[in-house]
Amino acid sequence: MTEVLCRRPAMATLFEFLLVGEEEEHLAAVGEAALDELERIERMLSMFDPASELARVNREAADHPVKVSRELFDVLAECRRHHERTDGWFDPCVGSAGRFGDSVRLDDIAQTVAFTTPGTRFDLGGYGKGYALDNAARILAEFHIADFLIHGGTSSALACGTRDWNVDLRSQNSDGVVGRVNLKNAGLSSSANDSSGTVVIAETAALAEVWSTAILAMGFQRARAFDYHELHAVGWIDTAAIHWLKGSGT
Amino acid sequence: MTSTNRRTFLMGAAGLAVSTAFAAEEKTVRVAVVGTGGRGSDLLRALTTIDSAKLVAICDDYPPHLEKASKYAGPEAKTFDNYTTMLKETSPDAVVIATPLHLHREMVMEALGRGTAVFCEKTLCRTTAEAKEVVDEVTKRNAIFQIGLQRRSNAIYRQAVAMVQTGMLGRISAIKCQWHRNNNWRRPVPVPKADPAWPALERKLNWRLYKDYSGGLMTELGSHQLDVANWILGTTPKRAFASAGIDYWKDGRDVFDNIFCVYEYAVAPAAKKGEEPVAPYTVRVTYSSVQNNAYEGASELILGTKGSLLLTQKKGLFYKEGGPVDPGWAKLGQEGGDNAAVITSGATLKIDNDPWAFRGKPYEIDVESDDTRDELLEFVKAVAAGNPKTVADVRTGLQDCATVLMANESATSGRWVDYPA
Repeated sequence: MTEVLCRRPAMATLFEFLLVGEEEEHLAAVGEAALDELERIERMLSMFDPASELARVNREAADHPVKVSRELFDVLAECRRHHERTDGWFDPCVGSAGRFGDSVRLDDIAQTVAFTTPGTRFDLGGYGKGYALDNAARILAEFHIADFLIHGGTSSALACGTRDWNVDLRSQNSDGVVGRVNLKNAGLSSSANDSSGTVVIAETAALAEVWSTAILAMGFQRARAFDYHELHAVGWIDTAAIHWLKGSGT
Repeated sequence: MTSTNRRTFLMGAAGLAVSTAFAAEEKTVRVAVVGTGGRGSDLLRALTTIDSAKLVAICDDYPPHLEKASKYAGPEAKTFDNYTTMLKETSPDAVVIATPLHLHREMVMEALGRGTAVFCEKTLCRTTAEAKEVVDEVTKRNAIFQIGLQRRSNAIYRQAVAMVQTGMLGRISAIKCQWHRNNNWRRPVPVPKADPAWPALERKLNWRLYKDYSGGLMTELGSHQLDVANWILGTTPKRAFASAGIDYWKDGRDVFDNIFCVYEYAVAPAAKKGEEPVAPYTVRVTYSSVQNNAYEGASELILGTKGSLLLTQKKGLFYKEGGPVDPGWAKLGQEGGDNAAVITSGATLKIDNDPWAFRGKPYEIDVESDDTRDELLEFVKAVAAGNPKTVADVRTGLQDCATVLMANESATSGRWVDYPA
């Protein structure tokens, strides 16, 4: 068994892929292909790159319906489902103007996106990282990389394979490690603000991303009452410890 | 016909003309794509975001790529594993060719023979002789043809060419460009090395690494940047010298893994009205490509007597020659006017100690769009309008092809190579 670590800056952070397999040349080539996939997704979803497809939507969709690629349409439709499922706490619309629920019109037949409230903009920064990890993982699997741990900016991760990956969680609000989770064939995402943080383990990195963001936004009291049937584990992080609302991360 | 009637008739005719023009602009162009690897998928995804284009078919003889591309293309685009069958069954208005280089000539000629407009990825062909055949055919048929050199559709590069033409850079001194990366440029193979299917599959997916299918770094990367040099200097190089080798990635590839080139151009600026024509002068362009250090990335640096212009696909930076600030000290050309110089007592002008600071702050040129989508938008517009004048025509493609192949020839022979007649 040999291990290859490949890394690339993308989406304003650093992605690292730790791949385990038989042959170094193959691992390196597959790693590069998976890293290229990140760049492809960034060219679609970045709100900072004016050449991205999402940037074009942000510029033009308040003026007229914008025809988008099938993939971007599917991403936005998926985000709408997440928006509804989290009672609106996951919302990729930014700015004071519009919320996803009432400011965005998606036309499935014409494959177009329109903003019904001027000033509405999408920010898929967080979701995009999870989505990118899931897509990178698909490429790794396609080329038979059985064991890997990949992360984007250390706040989103995905593990796959026969082995258990121990992942220590640090909090930006305290020194040292607040807890350890055991990641196996699952995605993990952690979000935080100045006082608290969340950690979610789910089937995909995108799903984990959605919920870690939504739970942080809704706050501890509301989060305790939510039903998390589609998630593996949900934790609320205060200054020094993780309070598990579902599962225990191990 | 009374005068009133006549006026009504004319108005009616004018109205009709307007609506026809509108219809022509809105005409949907039926496009097919052949080659659905990385670049082909980028192109077909971009096509699906263009209102006036309809992706009717996609073709690839490698099923995994075709399958993935079909998801991007949507259910209305038919899938084919044979190019001829696709053209016959779907009769597209235009075809986008994104196959390995050695297939370009044959596929372009077949589409032209059917009266189909062609968008062909760079480089035009694997040999200059093949490229000339394509030029002859396009010219003979007055066909709509565009080569996939997307910097020709990029606002930054258009601005750069305009800045050079209006003299903002002064006389061009030299151009330095490079595309440096740090990886083995390999596509992974989906079966283990021990599998009997591996060798053929490896060559198929890694066609860029073998001379049978590709010209390596020059045709796959350098073609973009040497086209920028040809465009900015308004001509093709006289001769070229290159040194290259397989020095790091000794992994079975037979194309160079690093190359350093010098091109000599004879630039003869058009005489300005009422001025003496400027004698032609030599401008040297250097190009390099390495695959084990990415520090310099991909960019072109246009050096002129009055300024320097650093170009990338996302940003252009213009630095004026002659220091970072003008303290307003020398009052040139003000005979008999005010004082000829200004000295500031007690306050020494401070400028940054950083050696880079002497470049001063650059003027930035930004762009708000994706040049791959833009080049297709312009191609689709040309097809809809029946206009054979594309933004990157077949002659541009031939010149670019001949330019990059000179370097490969020189690196192989060890001698200077002249631009082909």
